[in-house]
Amino acid sequence: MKTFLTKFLALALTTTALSGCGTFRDPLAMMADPSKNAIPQDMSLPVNQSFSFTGYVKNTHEAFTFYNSGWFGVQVVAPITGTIVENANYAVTIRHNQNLSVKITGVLSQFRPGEYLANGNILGTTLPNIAGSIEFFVYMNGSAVCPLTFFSTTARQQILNVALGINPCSG
Amino acid sequence: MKYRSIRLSLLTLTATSLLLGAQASAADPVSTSQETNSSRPLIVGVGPSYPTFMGDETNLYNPSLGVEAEMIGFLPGILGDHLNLRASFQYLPLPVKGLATATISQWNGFVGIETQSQSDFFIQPLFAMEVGTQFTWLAFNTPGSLDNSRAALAARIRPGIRIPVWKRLDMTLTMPLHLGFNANRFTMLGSVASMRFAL
Repeated sequence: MKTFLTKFLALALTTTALSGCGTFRDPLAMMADPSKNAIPQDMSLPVNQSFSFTGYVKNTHEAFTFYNSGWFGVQVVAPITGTIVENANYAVTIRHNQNLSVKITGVLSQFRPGEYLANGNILGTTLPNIAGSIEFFVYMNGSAVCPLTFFSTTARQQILNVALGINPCSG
Repeated sequence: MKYRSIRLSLLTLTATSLLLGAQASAADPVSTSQETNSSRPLIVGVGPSYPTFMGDETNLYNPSLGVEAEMIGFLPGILGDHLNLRASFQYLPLPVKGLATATISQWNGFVGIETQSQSDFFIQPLFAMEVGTQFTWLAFNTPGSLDNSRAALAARIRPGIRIPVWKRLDMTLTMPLHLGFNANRFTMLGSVASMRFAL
């Protein structure tokens, strides 16, 4: 009985030692919904907030286009916490939860599908040889929707400031 | 987090030890004189399993059919006549809702104890407790993607019934409640139909 319990204890301790080990991140935590099904309203701008962009924001097929003729290889940040599920042809898709994902095009990123980013982490840069123009899509249940309502108050105000009073969601 | 896992593990061990001790002290000479399982020292079983996710996981994963294999050993010298040692291994795919490009696979390995009713009734209830490891692996099917995996402590309690089918062949229907002690407490209630064969 004592031998059995000793072996059982050793096995349990081995299991405990293994607990938390592994490669990179916990898949179950990565797929967990950080906003608990609530619609996130804390997205940051995909361009560095300290950068005073002079571009304009317009509604084009439910996407925002952030533009600045002076952008050559400027930093692009993750606007929302999530897992990168696609990075191809200068387009990066971040899955936030089972309902919401964000796609940014015109970005040069070294991240691979399966990597996890927090809101504000550096995602990559705009293209180094072409004047900066990045398109920003938000998909709700697979359909592109106007991204404005998902931004934080600060980011939303910045967008409205450069939209010059025009509602970016009105088309 | 890790210290909490250790505490939970020790608690499980303590409970198991108490159970084993209580069982040993309560050995009934009448029942031990009856037919025991020692004539069938090993039973193997395999069958499909189907999960019902609980909590936040309900919205995250599509239930999908998995498979579970189990082995039950009768060690009357150690565990007495009413407790059996069991080990089980389960493979369970976890399709992520809205993410067709990724697959999560889960391998669960457990050891524990099982007891079942000694009544003469045709269908016999059984109950088992298990602790083990929950290993989860996430892979994307796009080239150059990154795999993620993590092992975590897990525990199960599994009530069920045993239905004799033919001679040394039994069918068991169990509903294991799975508790994974990872960061977000993976919880599911399974349904397992296992065909057991006594070797």
